[in-house]
Amino acid sequence: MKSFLLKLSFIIIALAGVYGFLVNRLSQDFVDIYYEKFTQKAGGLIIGISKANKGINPEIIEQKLQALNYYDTPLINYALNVNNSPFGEVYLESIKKKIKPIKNRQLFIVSVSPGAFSTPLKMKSEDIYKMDKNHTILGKVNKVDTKPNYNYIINTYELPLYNALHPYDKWLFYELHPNGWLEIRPNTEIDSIKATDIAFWKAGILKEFEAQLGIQQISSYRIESFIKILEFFKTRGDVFIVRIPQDEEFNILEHKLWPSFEQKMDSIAKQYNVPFLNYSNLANKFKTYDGLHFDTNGATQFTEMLSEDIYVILKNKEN
Amino acid sequence: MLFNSFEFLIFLPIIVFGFYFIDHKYRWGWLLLGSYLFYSFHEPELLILLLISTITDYFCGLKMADASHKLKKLYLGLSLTVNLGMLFIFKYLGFFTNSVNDLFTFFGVELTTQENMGSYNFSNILLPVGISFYTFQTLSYTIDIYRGAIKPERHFGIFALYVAFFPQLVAGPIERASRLIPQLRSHVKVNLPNIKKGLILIAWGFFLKVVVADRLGIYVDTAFAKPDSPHGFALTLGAIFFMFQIYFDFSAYTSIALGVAKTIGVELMQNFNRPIFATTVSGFWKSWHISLMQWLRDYVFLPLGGSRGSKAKTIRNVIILFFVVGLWHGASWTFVIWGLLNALLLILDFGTAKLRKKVFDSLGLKKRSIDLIGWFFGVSYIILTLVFFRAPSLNDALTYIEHMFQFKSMHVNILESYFELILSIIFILGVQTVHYYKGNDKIYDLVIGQPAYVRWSYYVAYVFIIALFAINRQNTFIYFQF
Repeated sequence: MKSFLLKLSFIIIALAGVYGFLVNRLSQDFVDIYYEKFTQKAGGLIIGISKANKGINPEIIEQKLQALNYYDTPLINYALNVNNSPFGEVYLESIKKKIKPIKNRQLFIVSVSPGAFSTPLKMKSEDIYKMDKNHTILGKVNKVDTKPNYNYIINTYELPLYNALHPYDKWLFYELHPNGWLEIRPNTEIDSIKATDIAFWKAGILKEFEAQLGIQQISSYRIESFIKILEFFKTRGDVFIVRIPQDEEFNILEHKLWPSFEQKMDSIAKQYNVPFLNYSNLANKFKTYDGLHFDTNGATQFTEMLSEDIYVILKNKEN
Repeated sequence: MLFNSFEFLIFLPIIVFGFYFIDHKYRWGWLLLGSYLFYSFHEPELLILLLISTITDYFCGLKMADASHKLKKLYLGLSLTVNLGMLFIFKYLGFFTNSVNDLFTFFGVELTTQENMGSYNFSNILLPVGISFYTFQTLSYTIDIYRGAIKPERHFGIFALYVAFFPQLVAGPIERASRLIPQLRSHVKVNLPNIKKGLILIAWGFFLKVVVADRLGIYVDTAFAKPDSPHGFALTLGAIFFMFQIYFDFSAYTSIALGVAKTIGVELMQNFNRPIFATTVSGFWKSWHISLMQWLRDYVFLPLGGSRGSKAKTIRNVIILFFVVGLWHGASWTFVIWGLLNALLLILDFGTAKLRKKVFDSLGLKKRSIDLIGWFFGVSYIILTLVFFRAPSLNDALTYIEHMFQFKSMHVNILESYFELILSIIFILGVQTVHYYKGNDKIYDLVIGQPAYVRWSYYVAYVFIIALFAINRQNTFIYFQF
């Protein structure tokens, strides 16, 4: 019996050892398009879904606000996508773990889209919480600020670990920056995204949006959580609600899901005394790669405009 | 709790070590406690249904012992009503109301929500994990007592353990009281060879699940997500992979269940006997989900008359049997159609047996060739019917089948990884080879009794295969949803 237990323990330890080695090896290379967001404490946050993930570059805002000289850094883009970072208690719990203790003041940019407030039809609050906890990256990852982040890999990495043994063959056109911004570069030295691809992707996303209309609804649970997040941020610094522009077709579909979306955001912003920067009327002004998400140029120009507006508001507030 | 979860890796050794340390008299309590913890780990409220079923059948079983025929019938009726009632409410009510709604709509009558079912939406009722399995298991107990085949179990704890025995609680095998209860009562001593066999079955089950079935699942999910894809070959491959995915997934669960039970001295029945090698459709159904098919044979098909009456009656009974098979798997018309399509082929199989024999004889075909033809057509038909099993709606299933046969595109690499595609095929061939030579239950013969260097080669290979090739999804087993 003793020898049997010894051999069994040896096999289990060997399995754990090989697994640990592979996880560690993977953590030193490319993990996925969100991993870097979970590897540091944040002095300020950009939250929302994929439009914010790809559309707001924290570096530009940090540089602009340097002149004010009282913002905690780093500003981290902590927006993922509609499936992984909708507004909810799970997002708030994760934010609380992510944020540093206050040193001076902290900046928070909350990007809003109807999709971030939606749930499957007739879902109860406790079921939404369970769904978010069990099926989103934010829910699955307990440690959000360590590097290497083994907790992230163990809980979210679904691909086989042999990927740790060769450089990951990632998509050519993106780069995840250490500050969490997911940059989409349509033109690289090797290849460029073609116009036909853009048209194909846009058609695909529009189709997906339409399909969601019949099975999703706006959830009061998500609205309440959104307000709780605003209230939490307000205790720590300056908050801005931002509506990122997109192609008109997406606006039309989003308004089918929530016709009075901008009015509702406006009323919440007024009620909680938070500026609402609504850029939805700037459709087609910034370059996207699929009609919805900004590419490098679009994101850079948009973030520059956003940082300028934020700067002006903060400057006025100072005076 | 999932077999393929971290919690289970902690839970199992505690249960097994505890079992052997505790005095025989109290082991039932230890296993019952473990079983309830296992079942209610994520959803404690589900335990209530299990307890209702347990208490009802314990009570009905005892009352039937020396009762008159009339009273026996009454208690059997009570057991059937409670168990099937719960199953109906939690599994079929939404399907039933939707179907009634659709029927009224078809005749031009629109039922408003209030008229139909008040403010509550039945589709929101949560399906309790394993309810179809434990309901059938506990029903067999009361029916067997009613028939006089077994005596009631007087020890409530042992009976409760029979209903809730954790290795097979959520996805079978559906055990009969006459097999399982005596084993739960028996005085088990530490039996190292048995424990080793159990661990090998568990290891094999893990491999089947996380390396093979979940890997195939990625391709299947991608294929079925676009039933109108122009890539007909990819859709065909998706359907073939699905047959193997569901087989390996369920076989993995069964293997782990058998292995876990073996470590504490309980022998559960095998649910599979190399079904994909069956040369006829009836052969397939005799070797696929054996515990369910035997249950339905004993409690549905034979009481209806089986195949003893006229041809028409046999056809009726086969249709009813497979209607129940379909409905048991899921409250949806796709499952019903899947069941009925299988009934159709079985009827054709019986009906054309003489004609086929004549044709094969006239062609001078040998048994081996006939078996090969039977296998090819049988498996192809099963693959096709399983599209209804997997597709989310009838429309999707029909679209999928229609596009499967449009061979305009040879593109099969829909995951954009030939390595993964080849790996999937290698694993299918590997597992099928093992199943062909060792069957589904004697996997441990590959290891036990072999020279040390062979055994250690297996162990080392296993460690590396699991670490390198496992899909880390922690997916539930497909049969959990039934």
